[in-house]
Amino acid sequence: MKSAAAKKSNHFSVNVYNTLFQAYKPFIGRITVTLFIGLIGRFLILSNLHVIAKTIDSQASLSHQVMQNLVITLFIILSFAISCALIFRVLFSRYSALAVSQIHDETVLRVSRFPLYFFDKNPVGKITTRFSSDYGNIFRLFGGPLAEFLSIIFDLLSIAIIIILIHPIFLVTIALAALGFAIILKLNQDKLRSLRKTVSIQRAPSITHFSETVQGALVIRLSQNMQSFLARFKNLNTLFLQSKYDVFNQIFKFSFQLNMLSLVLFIFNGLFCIQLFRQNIIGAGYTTLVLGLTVLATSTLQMFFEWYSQFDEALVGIERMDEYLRTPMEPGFALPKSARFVTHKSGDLKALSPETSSGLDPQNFLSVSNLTLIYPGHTIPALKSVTFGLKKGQKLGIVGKTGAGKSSLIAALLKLYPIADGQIFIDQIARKNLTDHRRLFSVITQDSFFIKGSLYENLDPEKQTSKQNLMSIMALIGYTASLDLEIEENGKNLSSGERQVISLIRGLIKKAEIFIFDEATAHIDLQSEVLIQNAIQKLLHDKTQIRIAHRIQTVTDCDLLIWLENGMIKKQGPPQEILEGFNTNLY
Amino acid sequence: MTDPLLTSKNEKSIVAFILIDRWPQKLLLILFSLVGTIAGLIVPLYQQQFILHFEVKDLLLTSVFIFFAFLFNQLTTFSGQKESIKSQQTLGEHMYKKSLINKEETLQHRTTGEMVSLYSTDVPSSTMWLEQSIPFFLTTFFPLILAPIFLVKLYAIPAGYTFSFVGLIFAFNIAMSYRQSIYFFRFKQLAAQRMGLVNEWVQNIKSIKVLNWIEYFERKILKKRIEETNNRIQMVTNGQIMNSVSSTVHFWINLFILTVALFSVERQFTGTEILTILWICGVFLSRPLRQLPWLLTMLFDAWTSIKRLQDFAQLQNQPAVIEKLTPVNQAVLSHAKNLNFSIGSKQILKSINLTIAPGQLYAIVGPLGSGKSSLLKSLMMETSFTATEFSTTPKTGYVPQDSFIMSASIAENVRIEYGALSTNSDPTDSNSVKNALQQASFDVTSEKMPQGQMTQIGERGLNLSGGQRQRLSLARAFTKSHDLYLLDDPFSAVDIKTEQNLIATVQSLKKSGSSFLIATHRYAILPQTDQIIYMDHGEIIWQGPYSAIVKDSELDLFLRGVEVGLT
Repeated sequence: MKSAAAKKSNHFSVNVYNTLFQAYKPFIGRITVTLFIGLIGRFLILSNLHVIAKTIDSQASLSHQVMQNLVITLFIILSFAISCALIFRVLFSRYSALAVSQIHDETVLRVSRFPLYFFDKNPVGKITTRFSSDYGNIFRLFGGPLAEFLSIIFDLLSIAIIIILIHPIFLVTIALAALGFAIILKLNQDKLRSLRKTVSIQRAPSITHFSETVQGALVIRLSQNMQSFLARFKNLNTLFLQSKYDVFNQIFKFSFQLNMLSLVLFIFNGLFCIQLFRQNIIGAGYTTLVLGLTVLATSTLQMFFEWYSQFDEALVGIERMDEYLRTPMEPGFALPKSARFVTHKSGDLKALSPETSSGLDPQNFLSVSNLTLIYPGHTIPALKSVTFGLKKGQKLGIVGKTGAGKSSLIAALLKLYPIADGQIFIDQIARKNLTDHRRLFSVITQDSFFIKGSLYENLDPEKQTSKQNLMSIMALIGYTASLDLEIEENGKNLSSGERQVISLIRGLIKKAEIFIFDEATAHIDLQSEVLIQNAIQKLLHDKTQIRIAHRIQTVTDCDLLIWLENGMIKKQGPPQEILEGFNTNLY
Repeated sequence: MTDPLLTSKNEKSIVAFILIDRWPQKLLLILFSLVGTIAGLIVPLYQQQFILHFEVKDLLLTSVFIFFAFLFNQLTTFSGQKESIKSQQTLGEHMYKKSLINKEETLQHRTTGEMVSLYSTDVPSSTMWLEQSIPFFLTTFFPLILAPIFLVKLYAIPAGYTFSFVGLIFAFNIAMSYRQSIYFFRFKQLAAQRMGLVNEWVQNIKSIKVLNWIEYFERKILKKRIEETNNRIQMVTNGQIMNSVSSTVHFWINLFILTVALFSVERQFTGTEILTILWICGVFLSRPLRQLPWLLTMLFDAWTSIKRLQDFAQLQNQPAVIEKLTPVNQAVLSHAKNLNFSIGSKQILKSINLTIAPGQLYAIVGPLGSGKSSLLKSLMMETSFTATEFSTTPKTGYVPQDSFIMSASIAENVRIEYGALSTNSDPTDSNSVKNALQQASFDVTSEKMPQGQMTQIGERGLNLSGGQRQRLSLARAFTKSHDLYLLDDPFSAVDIKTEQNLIATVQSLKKSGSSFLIATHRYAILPQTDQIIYMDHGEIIWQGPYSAIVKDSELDLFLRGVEVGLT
């Protein structure tokens, strides 16, 4: 039972080959033709040696005429053969590179649509290695090296054919060789595989740690704990390098076994040649050819196994990307049309059609009923049976202590986590398609994010609004920067206030219906805040707003206030009424 | 700040390090390679004997030398790999130390991704010299020089022909592999750029989902991926042409030798002689010529990585220029006179004069980009300022604007120490974390941290809210007692109730003698401060107690804007 489990973990699932097949599907016809050309090319190249040997053995003396014919024959065969080999190598590796790059794109499309808790659970480094080292391995090997690998197989085939044509007795050594190599491979393969897996597992932690250290260098320096960090890095780095060393060590043993087997085969073939020579069946030419091909086969086989084990690594890479290709996506997300791979059961699309409801107050633009949110892995709901209605253009304020469920309410409204119960109707429609649903919201928080690029790109990458409009909104808020301003990674070259102003502008220009403000102005000096409040008033006068209050003043002008406690609505009603109770409760 | 890392100088050239470090092992590596090459060269001589006489003795002798050739070539490869790993270890650590001690301004806008790729990509590829280049160097160049000499001596084939043939293949390979290394360099650049986008995408996935920017990011990554693939296809094409030639070079050599034998040599060759010549060429030339393009490509490639590592290794923190170092004493915790700081032509801090006394609470206010953060960093000597007088206490705690979270437990995050509390559960350590969290208003129970202090928090604190991250950062500063706390906008993400608790903590620490310098946009703390510093355009415009600030018309307006806005 134990060996069965071990076997299972070391063999690739059908999905891996299915994914490869889907990637290569558009190129299958063309690739088959190039493979055929390649086989012919390699065979003709090796048959050169046969031509030389045959000429030397069959001619008593090498006259000028014989030599001239030989040279001309060789030249013609070689030119044709090399053209074939060249066509095969170049075309095959190009098609192959194009095919496997599909795997990258298809994975991107799916990871984008993974639920948020997937990203909470998995560190960034773990996810990104799929696109760096795993994809890197696949891309590297399935380009040129696969053509090389196939050439090697063609060579081995051709060598076997040529040797057997010289005399069938060599079938014995070839059979022995096949058996011996199969045994050696069997002995080493599983071990090598698991060692290589260890390498890819050990790689991410040291890189993640390096990346974290780069980001927190200043704090670490000041903590005077640098030695502890250095020790940790040394440890992780050494573990990774040790695992690499183990692979090299195993390869050394593996190669040594292969070399010894080759040596035995060389002696065998030499003895056969002595016999055949004494019986006058072959001459010096063929003997040289057989021994030459034996040595050639040895180095070719070495290369074969080197590549073979590397392809294992690439298959591990595909397996790891394949895992992501087949991970369930956020319910409510359909793959775009550009996705070609079939990895999920169809029929999910039907579930995306929006639902309408009849039992709602027709005046309400936003109707939330019984909304309950339980974070994955938790048992206590973060939000429980929240129900409220909001007319178009109304403002809702949310008050409550830290941990009362304010942020969870936003998460639930945007369906960032799977909703345990309840529904959200906007304009009488509950949209199941997440893109359509989220498009109706604009959330302005202090969690700002930036992409490396111009300010313009950071504000409106989809170019939904004109530059002119953008400039006028910026002027309204009193932020006077050029749209060409280059923003660095994570907005490093901006102050926290600037970052917040930019996030705010970004949120304001969205063509949304419901605007949610969550600590939108925490980093902004109060003078600027006046401008901002005025701008919001002007720009969003007809829009529905939800404000999460961290300072009571921001919600005094709301139409409705909800007081959250322990994820439930403690009270809702007009601001004066709620705030009275809230203030006395708080202080 | 007297960590030995900061003072250790490690400026020696990376090239010298790779070649000379652990030199006895490297000499041994060359010796292995030499023995392997010589054993390989002896093989055809015995094989020739075998073809002439067909005796078992010659066959066995040939086999013995084949064995030695195999063994020593393997040893060469293996010790090359081992040396490469040793170097990667040292270089990796070196890059790590450098990224840890280099100050922000020293890094010259390098992104996190760029610095990580120095470790993850450039360190391994720079050591390819050890893994591949040195081991193959001898096995490649030794035969290339010997073969023409053999042919002249044994068969009077003019060396000029052989050398020019070898030279031709050599030139072709250099040209192709140079092209290859350019494509490869470009490939690495494009891959790094694509990974920059992928990182941005995964790190900010929540915001991207909220903003509905998913498709924009997908298009952006796809565009880069296509650019990368196109370059790769050109590279693969070039590489395959190079490969086609090098993998058939054996046969071109045969043809070349036969042609030479046909046209330029007076005497006729016997069949055995032809075979021996072909053997010599096959063994002497075909293998080295086959290895040549990859050897050259790797040389070029490793060189670009080495250059990048070298550039990074040469970065040096610029020290602050202080004319007179004044002492820290009971009346002065930190002091700066005429402090100036600029990056390039942009002046960040202008003629700052500031003295910080013990047991005082200072607030720095001012508009966006007025130099508040730079002033805090300068007080920790994290910038290359100039000052006529300067002093600062070594016992300084700092909370940055952006909270830094490591993927570790909460306790480890607070202590900034991996393995804290896990192995030695010293109750005093556990209590210090508990107290610090309490002081920072971070209650692991009510905030639903499943394993309390030992709860693992994700990379960059992905599963903590902004407020939680901020309070964790504060707890970090509170674990040790400091004379001076520099807090950069520490209350921006917390609610009012929490802010009040935090201010209470500040007050109680102040009572025990610590001073605080707090850059802030939240003014609830202002009435409780001893001094307010108002900054604009890198200058301290005004400094005085809260009671005096309203008397200044400009500042009055600045703070009053507040009141107008809120009512």
